[in-house]
Amino acid sequence: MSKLLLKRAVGEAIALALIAWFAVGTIRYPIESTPTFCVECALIVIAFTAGLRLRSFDRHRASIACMAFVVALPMIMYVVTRSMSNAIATEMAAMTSFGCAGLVMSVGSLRLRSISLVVSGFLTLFTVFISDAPYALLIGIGWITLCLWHLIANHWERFSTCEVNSVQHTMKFRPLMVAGAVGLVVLGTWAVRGRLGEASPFGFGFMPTSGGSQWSDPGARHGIGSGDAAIAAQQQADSFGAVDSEFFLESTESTLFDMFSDSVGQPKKRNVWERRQGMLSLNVQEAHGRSSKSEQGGSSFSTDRAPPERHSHLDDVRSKAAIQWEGPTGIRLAMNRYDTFDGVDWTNQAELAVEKMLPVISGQERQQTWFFDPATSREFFDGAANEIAVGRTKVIGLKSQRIPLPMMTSGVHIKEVIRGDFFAIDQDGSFLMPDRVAVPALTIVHSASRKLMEDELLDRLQDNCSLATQERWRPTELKKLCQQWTNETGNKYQQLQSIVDHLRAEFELDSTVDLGEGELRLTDSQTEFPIETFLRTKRGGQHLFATTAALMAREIGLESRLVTGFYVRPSAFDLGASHSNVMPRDVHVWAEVKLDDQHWFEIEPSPGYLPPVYSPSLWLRSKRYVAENWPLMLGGVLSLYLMWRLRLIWLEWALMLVWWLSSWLPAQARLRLAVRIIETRAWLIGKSRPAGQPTRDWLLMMTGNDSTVEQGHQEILRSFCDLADRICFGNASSHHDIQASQRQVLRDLVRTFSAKRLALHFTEVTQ
Amino acid sequence: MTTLVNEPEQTVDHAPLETLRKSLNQVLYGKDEQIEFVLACLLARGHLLLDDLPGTGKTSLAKALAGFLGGELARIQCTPDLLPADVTGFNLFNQKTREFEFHSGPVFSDILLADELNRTTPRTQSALLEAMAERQVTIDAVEYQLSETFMVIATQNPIDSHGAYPLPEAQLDRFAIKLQIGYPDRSAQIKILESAVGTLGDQPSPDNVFSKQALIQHQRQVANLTVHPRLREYIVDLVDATRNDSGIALGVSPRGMLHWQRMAQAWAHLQGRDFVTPSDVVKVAYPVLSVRLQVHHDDLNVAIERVIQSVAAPEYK
Repeated sequence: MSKLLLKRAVGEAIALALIAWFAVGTIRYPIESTPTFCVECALIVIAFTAGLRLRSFDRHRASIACMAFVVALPMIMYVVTRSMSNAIATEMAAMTSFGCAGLVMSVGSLRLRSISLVVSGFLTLFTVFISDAPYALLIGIGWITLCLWHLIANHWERFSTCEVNSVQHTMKFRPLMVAGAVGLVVLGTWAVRGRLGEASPFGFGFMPTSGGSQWSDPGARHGIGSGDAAIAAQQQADSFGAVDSEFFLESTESTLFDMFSDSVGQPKKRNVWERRQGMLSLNVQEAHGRSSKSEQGGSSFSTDRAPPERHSHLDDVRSKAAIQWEGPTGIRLAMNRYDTFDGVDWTNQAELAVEKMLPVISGQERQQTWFFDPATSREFFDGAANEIAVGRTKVIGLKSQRIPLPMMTSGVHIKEVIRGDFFAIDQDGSFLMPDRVAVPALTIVHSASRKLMEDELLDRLQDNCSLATQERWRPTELKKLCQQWTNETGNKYQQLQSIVDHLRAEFELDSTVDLGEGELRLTDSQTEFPIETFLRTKRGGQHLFATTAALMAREIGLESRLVTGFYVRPSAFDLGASHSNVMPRDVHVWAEVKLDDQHWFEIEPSPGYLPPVYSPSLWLRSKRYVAENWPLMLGGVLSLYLMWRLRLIWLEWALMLVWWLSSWLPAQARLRLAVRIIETRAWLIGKSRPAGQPTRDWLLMMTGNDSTVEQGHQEILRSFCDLADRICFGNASSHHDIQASQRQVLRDLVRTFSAKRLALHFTEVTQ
Repeated sequence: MTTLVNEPEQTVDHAPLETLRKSLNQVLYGKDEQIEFVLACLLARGHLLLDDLPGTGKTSLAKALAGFLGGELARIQCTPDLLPADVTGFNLFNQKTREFEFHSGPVFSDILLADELNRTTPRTQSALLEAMAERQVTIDAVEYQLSETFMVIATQNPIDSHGAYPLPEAQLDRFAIKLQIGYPDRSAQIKILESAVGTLGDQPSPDNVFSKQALIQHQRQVANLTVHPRLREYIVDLVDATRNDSGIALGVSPRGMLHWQRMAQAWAHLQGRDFVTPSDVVKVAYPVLSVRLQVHHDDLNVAIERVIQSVAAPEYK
């Protein structure tokens, strides 16, 4: 009997495990290649049967090997199919392998069989839950029915036999129990139908997720968009909505970056499950991982953010930037300067070379050695330059001896470099590292430059164009334009500013203009130089803007030169690394003009580039403000003075107006107002009531004890004080309302004791 | 607004009060304000301390007041050998009746004039304490009630400090006010001389112009006078200011505070009002405070002025 029972129990356990395995198969079959799947199934069946058979012949080792093969087979198939075109999904292989383990355990000891039940049960229910096949539920119910039968038959009935009297053994008892339980399951399932959402088959494996999150787009949770949008969205990991896949993954992860995340850090992850779309693996691009987008449609903005990713300076080696600039953006870093122009080419003839720089040791622990240009260094030490800007240039991909530095740079410093021959100034006045092929990559050069105020430009820009007079080449068109633009303005700086403004406003920056025509004609007798073409067409590259500006500066008597270097775009600033990446495409040409003290300052004639900032001093700003607004200010001061002088008159009017408007007030409020008016008037004439003096005493003091003051006034005051005392401090039952006559008392008080009269009284009293 | 109405309003005739005021003015020329204070003290059931030079009319005032009130005036000349029993009275064994008989002292009068109070011993001074505070005396464990209108008018001479016993603070606090009568002005002095011509100097006993019953009525009326809650706060603030003032060694006690309120009520009553105003509080502040404030170095009046100025008076609102 016991042997039969055992056999039956094993058979049931195997059947349950097979149901679970079948359930997984129902998911795999539609999406996998049928031959592979059939081969796998056949192999498992064969191996399992072989294992059972071998065990019955007591060949246990071989049996165990077969069983192990059964368990491993799905994973082996997974690996094999990976190399083929139709791969098995990892998850599916793992689930099948799990099911096989259940199958193998079902033929083991009693304990293993129990585990097998748990495994097959879990697998069945899980598969039924994720399956979208309509019959999947039947598998689950089938498994539950069989499992109940198995449990009752093998376990519960054995308990019941221990208590013979309490259980009636009939043949119908067990099927009824099972039927009842299954009925309950069916009923329960029916009750929750439609609550789990619908699902439809998805034609491919698991994909990277796309779509917004709760904080990137409200639409992300619902899936919107159709037609063209849907087609476009197919390719984009950061899109959302109904792309061709309708496979959704639930996740708490935020998949995408946005601009805010780059700067202020990603929002902290919240444990919120959100639905995202699966995306075809073909459409996955590397860039999706860091695609920036703004959160325009965002319904929320989280202030709880992880700190921004730290910039690793070791990564700078791989940067594509020419240099990295740590300092203000929107400025120019000069490398080469040219002072002579022959109509086509700029060359340098100045001799500004400095070979021996002036070493200066500075820093808190006197560890920094700076090297200064001896010509301009003095003002750094005698306090003439009160504002010094220190910037840092990090050379990355620039293969040059020269160091790109901002204008008016006087000194440079490299950490731990104390040898003066590291630096020199070239003939054109630019800093360089002599005796080297190029500034070594990743060298960080600190630069100290003076800040220039607008005041200095106004004062110190003088007619000093000795070089300009030697200039041979200057087209008439340029002269004419220059005269036209500078005609009305007087100051040199204003003239220069006018030229720059006109260039920036009236000319168009266009680097693609083909100047070939002009160049060709150079060889002709009727040559047209590039500048002439530029002036005629009013469009051209930045080099033409710079050249024109430099030439025009000479036209108004200022010494000028052309500068080439880099422009630090404000958009190039990397917040995380706190420097700007200056790329090779940021090369720029502009002009510099000389001040009377050998300093050169830059001008920016090209539109689209930020002009240099020369902030006016407070004094200059005040002067300008006054110049613009003096009539208003004068008027304001005058009217304030008048208001002050006539304060007694107009405040008196205002008080009377208030009094007149307050006639609707209740009696006590009106009394209070009357007192306030009198006190305000006294305050106006500088005779405020001392806080410690009761109002009555103060009022009566005004008239004094002697009768020098008009009798009537004293009467008015006395009757007012009596009235006020009665109302404010008297017995509640003793006053009801101010009678008409008493209203008259208030009116008399306010009308009689004007500020002027009060002043008169006070004078009399003090006399 | 809450009010203090303990009893239904009684109409009191102000005419006798006016007569009393006029009569007193006939006695003490040119001292209207002092007389007002004396009257206020009387109506407030307070005791009066006159602190002035000899011959300024202290005794005359007391005598006249007693006379006008129709009450009994007792006078004790405070000398160092004055005994407490001389003030309160004593029990004497009567040989005939073989019983102790009580012989009442000067305190059993309506007005007790204690001349030069600071010349008697503290022991005798303190005998007056119970009488002044509780209007009763206890002799041999028997309590004797004093007159309902009992009032002490004490004088002291600020000049002669030799052999004087300054009044202890406890006793000073039992006086409602201290007044200085001061010399009369020129016109008043001429008037005094004028009125002395033709009289022998023995001032006749003045007529009774103010009945005791009327006085009691007035005193009750004063006690019932309305004091606005803001004024009560004002008085408390002022009292606090006296305690917190660095120039003042001893501030006003709660008993002094009660005297102050009652004096303000009496002052208001004298002005014919049935409520107290801030002016009343300030007006009586000087006599009330000068009896009980101990100042370090300052002039007393300066200290009082400072205290008053330091507290904002209730405004009309």
